[in-house]
Amino acid sequence: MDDITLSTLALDNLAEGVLLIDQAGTVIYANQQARVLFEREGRPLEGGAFSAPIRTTDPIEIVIPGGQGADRIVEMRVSPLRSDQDRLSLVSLRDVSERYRAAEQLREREAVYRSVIESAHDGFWITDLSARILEVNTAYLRMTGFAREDVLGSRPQDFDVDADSDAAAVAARVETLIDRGSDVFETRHRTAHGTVIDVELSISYSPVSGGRLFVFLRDITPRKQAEAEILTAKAAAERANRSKSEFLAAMSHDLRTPLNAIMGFSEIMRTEAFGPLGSDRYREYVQGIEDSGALLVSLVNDVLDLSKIEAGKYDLRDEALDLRTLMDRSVVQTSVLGRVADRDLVQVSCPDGLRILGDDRALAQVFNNILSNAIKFNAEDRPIRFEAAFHTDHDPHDGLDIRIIDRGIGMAREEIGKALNPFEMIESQHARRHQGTGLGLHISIQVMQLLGGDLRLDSRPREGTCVTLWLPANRIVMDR
Amino acid sequence: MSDAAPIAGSGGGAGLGAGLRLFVLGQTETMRRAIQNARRLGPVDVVDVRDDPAAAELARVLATPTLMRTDDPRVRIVGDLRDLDAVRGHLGPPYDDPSDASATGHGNG
Repeated sequence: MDDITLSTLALDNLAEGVLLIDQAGTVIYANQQARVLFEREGRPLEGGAFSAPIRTTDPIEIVIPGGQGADRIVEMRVSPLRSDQDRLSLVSLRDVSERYRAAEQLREREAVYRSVIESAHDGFWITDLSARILEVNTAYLRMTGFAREDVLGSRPQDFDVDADSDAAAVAARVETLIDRGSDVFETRHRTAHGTVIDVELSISYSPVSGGRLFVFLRDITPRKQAEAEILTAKAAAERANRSKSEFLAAMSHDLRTPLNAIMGFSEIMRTEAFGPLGSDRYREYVQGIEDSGALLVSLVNDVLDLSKIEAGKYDLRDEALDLRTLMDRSVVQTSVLGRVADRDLVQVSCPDGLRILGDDRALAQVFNNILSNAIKFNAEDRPIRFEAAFHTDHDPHDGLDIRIIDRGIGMAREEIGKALNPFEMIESQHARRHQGTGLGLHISIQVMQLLGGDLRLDSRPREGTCVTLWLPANRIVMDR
Repeated sequence: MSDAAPIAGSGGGAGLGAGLRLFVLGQTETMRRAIQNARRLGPVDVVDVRDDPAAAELARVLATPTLMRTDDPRVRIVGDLRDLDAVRGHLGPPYDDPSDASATGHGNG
C-alpha cells in the first residue's frame, strides 16, 4: 500500500469533510465525508469551483443547502498546504447541524420558559443566594407599581414590610431554604404607591449557576380581606349563638315557674278539691288549661334540654336500671299523655331481668319521646311493638337494640331528613298538625349519642316507622 | 436579480455584464454579515437559494453564502467574507482596489 492510497484511506475515514482546492478555488480532491455533505456521492466534486483558498483563522459558519429542513450547518476551516510545487489549500468541513439545532431548541425552550414567567399572573423573582434580585417579571411590577430598575439588585427585605432586615437573619433563612428545597409563606409587601399588599411567597432553591432562588409572589390581598370578613362574621355569629343559648336557658327556667302555678291550680280545680265547679263548661275549660299547661311544660323542657346539650351541660348518671320496668313505665306515661290511645295497644317485650347502665331520666325521656311519636302517628287500632333484644341473637357483645315499631302513616325519605333536623320541623306540616317543638327526636339522638349509642330511623309512607335505639355492650349489666 | 439566470454556469460569460452575485440561505447572522461585507465591494445581486433554488443549482453553488463574479462564475468565495482584502484579491480587477469601492459599477462590463 503506497503513501497516497494510505492517505486517501485515512481521509475517507475522517468524520470531517475534506476538500483540497487549488489557487483558483477548484476542487482537486474530496473525501468520502465531503461527498456525503454535498450529497454528491454519484457526481464528482473534483474539477468544479468551490471557493477561494482564503485562509481562515476562526471557523466560518456556512450552510450547505439540502432542501426542506435538510440544510447542513457546517464549520469551515481553510488552511494552505505547501508541501507541493502547486500551492493547495485544505478545506475542512465539520457538520455542526445537530449541535446547532440543539442550541436552537435550547433557545426556543428558553424563550418558552421566559414567556411563561413573563405572562404569569403571579409575580416572579430570581435571586442569588445572598437574596439579591437578579430577575423580575412584569406581573410583579404591575402588582407593586415599581419600575424594573427599582427591583433589580434589591433584596426581599427592601419590599417585605415584615422581613428581618438583619443580614444574618436573611442568610440563616436562605440556609434553611437550601436545606428544605422549598418554602411557602405569607407576608406583606409595600408597593410604590405607599400601600401594603398581602403576598404569598413560594420559594424553591436550585443549584444552577452557583445557586438560585426562584420566587413566585401571589397577591392574596383580596383573599386575606375576605378571610378577615369571614372571621369577623363567624365571631359575631358565635357570640349571637352563645347569647341565644344563655337566653333560652334563662327563659326556660323563668317560663316553668309560672307554669307550676297554672298546672297546680288547674289540677286542684279539675279535681274540685274545694268544691264543685258548677258548670260543665268550666270543667271543660279547666281541662283545657291543664292540657295546654302540660304541653307548654313539655315544650319548655325540650328547649331547656336542647340548650343544655348545646352548652355541653347535660349531665348523665350511670345507674343500673331494670329495662323492663323502664319500658313499662314509659308505656303508662305516654298512654296518659295521649289519652286517645289504649295502653294495651303497646306490646312490650324484653328479656327477663335485663339491666342496663344509664340515666333513668334521660332514658325515660327518649322512650317517652319515641313512643309518643309512635302513638301520635299510629293508624288507630294497630298494635305498636316496643321490644328490646341483643343486636346479635343471644350475644350481648354487639350491644342492645330497643325498637319502637308502629304501623302508622310513616314518612318519605325527605321527611325523615326533616324530622332528624330539629329546626326544619318548625316549618313542616307535622308541627302544625301535631303539637310539639319537633325537638324531641333531635334531643333523643343527642342523648343516645351521649350514652355512647345511636338512634336509627326507618320509615315508609303508609307502612309505618321503626326507631331503633342501640346501646353499646358496655351499657348492658352482665352480672349473671 | 432577474438578470442572473443566463450567466450562471456559462464559464466565460464576460460579456454578459460584470457584477457580483451573492447566494445566501435564509437570514442567519452569517448571511447578514456576508451581505454587509459584499456590499462594501460594490453593488451586489443577492439571491436566496430558498427563493430561487434553480439559479443556485444552475450556478452549481455548493454552499452558502457564496459570492461570485457574474462574468466568471468560477471565481467564487464561500463564507461571510470577513477577510475583505483577501476577497478583493481573489475577485481580481476591478475589485482588488480597496480605495475605490464604487469601481465596480455596472458600466464596467
